[in-house]
Amino acid sequence: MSNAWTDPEHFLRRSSAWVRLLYLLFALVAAVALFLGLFVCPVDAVQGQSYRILFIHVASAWMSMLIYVLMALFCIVALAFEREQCSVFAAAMAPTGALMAFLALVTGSLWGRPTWGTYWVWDARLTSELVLLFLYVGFLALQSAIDDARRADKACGLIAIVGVVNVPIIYFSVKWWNTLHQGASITSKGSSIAPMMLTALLVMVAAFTIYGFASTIARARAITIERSRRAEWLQNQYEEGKL
Amino acid sequence: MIVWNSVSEFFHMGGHAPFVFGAYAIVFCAIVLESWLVARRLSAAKRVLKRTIALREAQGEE
Repeated sequence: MSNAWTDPEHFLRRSSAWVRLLYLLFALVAAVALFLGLFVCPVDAVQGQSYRILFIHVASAWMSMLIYVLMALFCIVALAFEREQCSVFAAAMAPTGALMAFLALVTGSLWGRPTWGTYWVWDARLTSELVLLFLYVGFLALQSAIDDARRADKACGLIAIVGVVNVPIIYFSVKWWNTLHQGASITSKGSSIAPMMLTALLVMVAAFTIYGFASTIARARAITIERSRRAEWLQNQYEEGKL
Repeated sequence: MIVWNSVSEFFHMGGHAPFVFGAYAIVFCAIVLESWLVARRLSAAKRVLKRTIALREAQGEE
């Protein structure tokens, strides 16, 4: 199983081009999403213009959950098969995931004030998303508190794996509890969103997903270099100008 | 295709401009800041690697 996901040498050789391509793609897709969301979508009959916040709110909330699930999967592989590079990817995802959880909460508050009349309520969806942000912060704090990278990986892996139980709680919270937060508008049975608004939302979600991959891969490159700086293969790659 | 009748109507955003543009500005700044921090970390890692190589070469010459 020697590939870019498990072999640091292979990963560093390949990933430089990926990062540039992903950032460029993100800029293009985000520009289209912004144009659709701010200029093409009509006003919402119930929420007025403030609903335009939902394009970035939903995209960041979606990313915060996706990144946590991926982080937990990488930690499981890292712990089960002793693949250090998978721990590197998990560590690289955590800051972006924390940022997305923070943005989901902030943009949600800014949408909540004109719509609900308040910035914050201790609603099940909001509270479980806040718990997700705390899990990310805990992961990052533990990572920086332990000097030995392998021990830090194991401890953080446990946080990620145990904490993943919070993701279905966030998703189903609007069904399980009687909450102020609205239920899912997109389900397996279809969508209750107008086609143009749905298109703008999906394009924004795509932009955020591409950004998540770009920043994760770029940060994983930095972490890989930090951890492997004494390795001969890395020093050779640097001297050959292939880094 | 564009739903706005004037630039002022767009910037007024139905009276919700501080919330809508505030949210978009926060997301924009956060993404720019994170990208800059990642780029800075990557260059710092490369600088440390360069120093490690220089140190190894100096030790080899001794």
